[in-house]
Amino acid sequence: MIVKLLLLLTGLLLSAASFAHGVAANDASYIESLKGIAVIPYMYLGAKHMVTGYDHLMFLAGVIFFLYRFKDVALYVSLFAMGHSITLLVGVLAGVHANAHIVDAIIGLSVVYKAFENLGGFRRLGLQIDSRLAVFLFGLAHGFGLSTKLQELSLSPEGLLVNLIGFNVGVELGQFAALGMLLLVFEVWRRTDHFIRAAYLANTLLMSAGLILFGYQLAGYLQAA
Amino acid sequence: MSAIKSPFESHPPSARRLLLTVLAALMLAAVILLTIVLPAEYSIDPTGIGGVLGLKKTTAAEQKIELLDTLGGNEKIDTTSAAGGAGSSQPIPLPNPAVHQSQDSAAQAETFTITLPPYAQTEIKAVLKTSKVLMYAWKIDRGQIYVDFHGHSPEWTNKEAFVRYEENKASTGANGSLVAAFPGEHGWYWLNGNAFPVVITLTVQGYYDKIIDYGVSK
Repeated sequence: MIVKLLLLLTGLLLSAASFAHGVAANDASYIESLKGIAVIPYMYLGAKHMVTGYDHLMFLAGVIFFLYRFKDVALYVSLFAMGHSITLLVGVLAGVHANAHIVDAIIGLSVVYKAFENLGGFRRLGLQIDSRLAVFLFGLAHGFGLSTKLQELSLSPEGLLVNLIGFNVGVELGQFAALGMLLLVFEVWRRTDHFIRAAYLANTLLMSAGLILFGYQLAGYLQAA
Repeated sequence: MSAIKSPFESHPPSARRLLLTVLAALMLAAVILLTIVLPAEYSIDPTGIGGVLGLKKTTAAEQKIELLDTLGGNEKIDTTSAAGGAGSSQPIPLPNPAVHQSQDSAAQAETFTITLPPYAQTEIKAVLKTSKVLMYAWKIDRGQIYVDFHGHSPEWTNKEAFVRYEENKASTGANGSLVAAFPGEHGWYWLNGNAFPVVITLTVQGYYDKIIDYGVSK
């Protein structure tokens, strides 16, 4: 487990710069070359996707920003994992084709939503939003993003279901690894003075980053259209 | 009950502060999008700042493609601007147009049979213009022979254009092709080191001007 974690961390450091949201090009050709059941490679790629997918990480950071209790972290992360597992599996197996730019734009909005909620925006507007439901729904969007990207590759139908489950398990493992790092950082950060002030600024920046993702994907959609 | 323990949930910011926060986030996002992300990703550069920062040229459509010009032995790297870019159905311009040559007639083909007495030498050359193609096949009936396959400009007017394609002190024959890197005579020098005569059979095909047979000498 420690070795796997180290591998994931190394993968994060090495590929964070070059890895955009999708499945990196050399990984793409690797996936396409796989025939039959290849659980471990798919698992690794799933984990790598999660650990290096900055949009997932931003959303995750937003979700756990003010979660102090382990129970709450587990609840929200499970909701998110449930959401993206459903759409990842169903999306690929049923061959649901969504526009990658639109899905990624929604993922960008999920970051904006979470940051705005963290800032008390909905409370100020007098809106009561069930954040658990929202996390689950945006989890669905994140899973769609992944299934859309996987479908762009010509996956071998041989052992597809098993491979997908492997990929999904990898995504969860990657999420645990990323979560571990995030929780560690937050744990240290929360102990600092001025955390509250910094948290306000950080969520403002998080909202801005989500907006950038949204605009980036929207422009990509318009350009492709 | 909500599990969220955001301090801003229990003490939300004032409407004015919230508005300013959202505006600041929007402004920041807009500035980064317009000056960095869109120029770099899509070559959309409404402000011109992306171009100044050198980000605009990183788009796939304007990527330079390096092509190796292997024709004529003069391996030079040609940088060709890809019209369409990666994934486009647009062809890129040929770095060396001579890789394809349309001709008025079919290629010539000739076969020579030369009997080389013991310790005698001979030379046969094809006169080729630049980029013209020659294919050849030759063999000897027995033993081994010295061969120097080379090319030079006609009348040795340009000493620099003297190249050796292949030298073999004990050859029984060779097959191959040649694209002339410069105009001139391209061909074979043979020396029979055997105490017996050797018969060389040479077949050439291609778009040569003529074949010069220098004859046998001791």
